[in-house]
Amino acid sequence: MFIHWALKEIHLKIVYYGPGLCGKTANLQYIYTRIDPALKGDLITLKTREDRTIFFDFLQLEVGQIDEKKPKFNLYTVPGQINYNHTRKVVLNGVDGLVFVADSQKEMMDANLDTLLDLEKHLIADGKSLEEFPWVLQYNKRDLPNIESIQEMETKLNFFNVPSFEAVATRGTGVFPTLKEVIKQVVAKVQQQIEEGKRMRA
Amino acid sequence: MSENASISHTQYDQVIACLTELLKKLRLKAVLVVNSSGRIIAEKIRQKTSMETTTLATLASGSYAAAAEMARQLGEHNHFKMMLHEGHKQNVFISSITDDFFLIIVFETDVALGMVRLFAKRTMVQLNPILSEKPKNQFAELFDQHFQGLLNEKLDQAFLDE
Repeated sequence: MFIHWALKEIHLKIVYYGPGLCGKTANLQYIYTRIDPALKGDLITLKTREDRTIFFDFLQLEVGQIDEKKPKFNLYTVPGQINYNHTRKVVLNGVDGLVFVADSQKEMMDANLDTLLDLEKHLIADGKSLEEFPWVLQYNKRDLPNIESIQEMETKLNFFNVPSFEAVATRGTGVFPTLKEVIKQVVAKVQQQIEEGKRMRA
Repeated sequence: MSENASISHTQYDQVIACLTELLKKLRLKAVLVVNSSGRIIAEKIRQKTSMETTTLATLASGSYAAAAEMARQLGEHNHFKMMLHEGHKQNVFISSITDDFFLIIVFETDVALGMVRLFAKRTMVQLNPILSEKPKNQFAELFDQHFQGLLNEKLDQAFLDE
């Protein structure tokens, strides 16, 4: 989180993380098409000629003023392909909350878990962990055949019992509930830190 | 991943004063101070120049972070000192102020790069102590239950189709 007191801006960075082709960019594209133009910036996508994210996608959202303060949500995606490990680390810099987008297709279960462990590795290197960090799970592509059951996905991926959502990001199903929840988790985490700080001082 | 951070009114005023001074000395199109996550701390744009600075800052921060990782991979102990993107009509100069902040200068190609580097260096020397200071955070003032309630309402309004 970054606070600009002079401009009364509160910046929060949310990163969409997940294996290649799981639908991270689709989440941002849907949000971009549905938000009032006055509340959003450009959707930046840095991709290869094959239409794969090479660095990140970025979208800044606003919700107007709250008590004269302007919250701004900076949404990023990471490239999902295995060889962009260092790029993912770069995009995670300054992250406040995470959406892990899991691909519901049965053959993607190993990739989902490997990517989640890769995320945990980056967080641990920075003194954080999935156990304490604000994040949510999105089970995407629920419209495809040959998908894993939600119960099985919860067992395999949601070992910290974080909020989870079923989604079809290309149609927008589950996209906004996921985003709202991760923002809620981030704000709750900040409040928790404030309360802990007060207790320490008392 | 940086911890919660902020920039105070005083720091902002001091940074703006430095950027205004730089803009007076050189015919630049824009000068920005941005943090490592791509958030604009302060910006001065020459009159009649139109520029989407949020996008510029985000892309520059990506470029800066990628270069820093490249430096690390090559065994450099610090960030690369500067980056220059040369265009046909304009150039973008990016240089590190502290570990957390960098300077972006956009200028036309008829402005001598040596002059830009000289004055940028002087500005960075001024900016370094200003931005090295850590302001006392007062996050408790911002994030009370009232704020969270209003934020939820605003999110519901913004995400209309849900």
